[in-house]
Amino acid sequence: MKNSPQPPRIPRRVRISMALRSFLIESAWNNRGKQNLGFCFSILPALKTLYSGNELLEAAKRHLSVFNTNPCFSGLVAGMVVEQEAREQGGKTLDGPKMLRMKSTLGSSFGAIGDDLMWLSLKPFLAVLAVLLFLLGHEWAFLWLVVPFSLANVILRFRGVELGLRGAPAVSRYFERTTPKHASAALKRATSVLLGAVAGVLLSWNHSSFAECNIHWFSFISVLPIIVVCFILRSRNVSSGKIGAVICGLILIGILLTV
Amino acid sequence: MTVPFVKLAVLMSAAGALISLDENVMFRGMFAQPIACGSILGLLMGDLRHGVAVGAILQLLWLFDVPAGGFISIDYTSCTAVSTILMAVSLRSGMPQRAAYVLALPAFILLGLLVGALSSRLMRRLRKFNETLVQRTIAGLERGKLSAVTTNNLMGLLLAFCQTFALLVAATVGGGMLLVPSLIRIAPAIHGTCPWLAVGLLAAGIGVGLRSLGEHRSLLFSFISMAAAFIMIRLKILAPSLVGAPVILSCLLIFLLWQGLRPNEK
Repeated sequence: MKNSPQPPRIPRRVRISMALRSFLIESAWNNRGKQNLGFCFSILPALKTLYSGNELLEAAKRHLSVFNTNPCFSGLVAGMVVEQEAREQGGKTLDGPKMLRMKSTLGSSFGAIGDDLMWLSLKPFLAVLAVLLFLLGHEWAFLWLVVPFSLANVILRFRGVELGLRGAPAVSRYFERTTPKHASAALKRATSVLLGAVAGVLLSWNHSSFAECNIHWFSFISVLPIIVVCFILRSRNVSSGKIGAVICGLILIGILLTV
Repeated sequence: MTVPFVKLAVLMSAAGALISLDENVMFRGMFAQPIACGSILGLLMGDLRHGVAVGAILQLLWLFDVPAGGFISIDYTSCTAVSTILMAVSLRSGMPQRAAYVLALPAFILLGLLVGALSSRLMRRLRKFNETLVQRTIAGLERGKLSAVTTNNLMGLLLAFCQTFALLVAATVGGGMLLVPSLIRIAPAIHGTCPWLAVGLLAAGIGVGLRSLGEHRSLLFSFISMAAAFIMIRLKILAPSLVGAPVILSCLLIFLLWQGLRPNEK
């Protein structure tokens, strides 16, 4: 990369537009191209600054190839792809198949990191925290889920575009410094601690956030068996929806039989 | 169900459909999670307490469901929206609060689960249909129309909203007209005082969540924290009040710092 030309700078207004448009990357999610239309939509302002006329139309068509990643990291991938496009403008040619391979590799790598960190670690952690705080009497507990997650999401998109536009070496340096894998492992352990705390609150529940009642004897004898049974059912791939339906159905039948 | 209730159901269905877009169409700020969806709809109907309660009951069941890639789980946002709206309607119609939680909520959640299952089927079809939007975009670009990209992408958003909105209106208006009056008639006969559903679904959610974590060490951590929380509540250290939150948050912070500073064995 000794003699690689300096890519043209993407204006700030375009970078902001790219980050904002990345929030709609899944609008037209489809089985064949996945997020392709949304991705093309999100980098369109940058393509407009790099190309014009038929070249612009060709570039837009090129980016309708299959694409899929974690939406929170889509800004980062978009930034990296635009940086490559800008390099192509600067004289270094990047043919269609190579771009396709690059997009696919970036998409799947950041998809895996993002799914693990955001969907399987941060979301469950904040959600259980919100439920626990609600059980302890905080009516606005949902803010503990929505505010930190949205903040992380927004920062990732805007910061991602900026970082991606600095190119692959800057991105890899950044990920060498941060350790998303450690963070996700720590969050998963913290989630298990919180789930245990929710079980502890249910076991000693002699008040209710739901209605005036006294149920400590009931919760004490029923909580642990239900947890164990649902643990086993989940091991046998029974879906959460079916488990919920069975519980609601049994309760309704029981109540209607006693009426 | 009178005209104001129909208006309320339609307006809240629109809000629910908008929130459900956050699940797998736009933004992804976790507004579509049951506890957030229930709270927001409850807040809009001036009844935050019941909204957050409905959401919290359902939240743990789908803790580890990831609507990523081609996977579409049951639409828990629609399920929560239907349950929360019908719960508010039945409470406004004069159903006693106790009966609403013991009798009506399980029925509303069952209806919500049906709506959620139908909604996820429709979402799969919509994703198939979206392929035509891409074809239209390519055709538009070939004709030299760059605006085809924006138009068709926003069309996908609009279609997802309209589909969920129509489903929610049908479920809430239909449920409010057929289900709520019958439940109100049975309500006086309810003598139970225990919110079985809250305990049952929260415990089920814990079981499902622990299995999904899939680590033996997680079970150990959960068991220790369960015992600790139980003892702390019994000793009134972790009282169900504002004192509890700082205690939990400080413990978590210490735990996260400890976990973050330790090198990962794997």
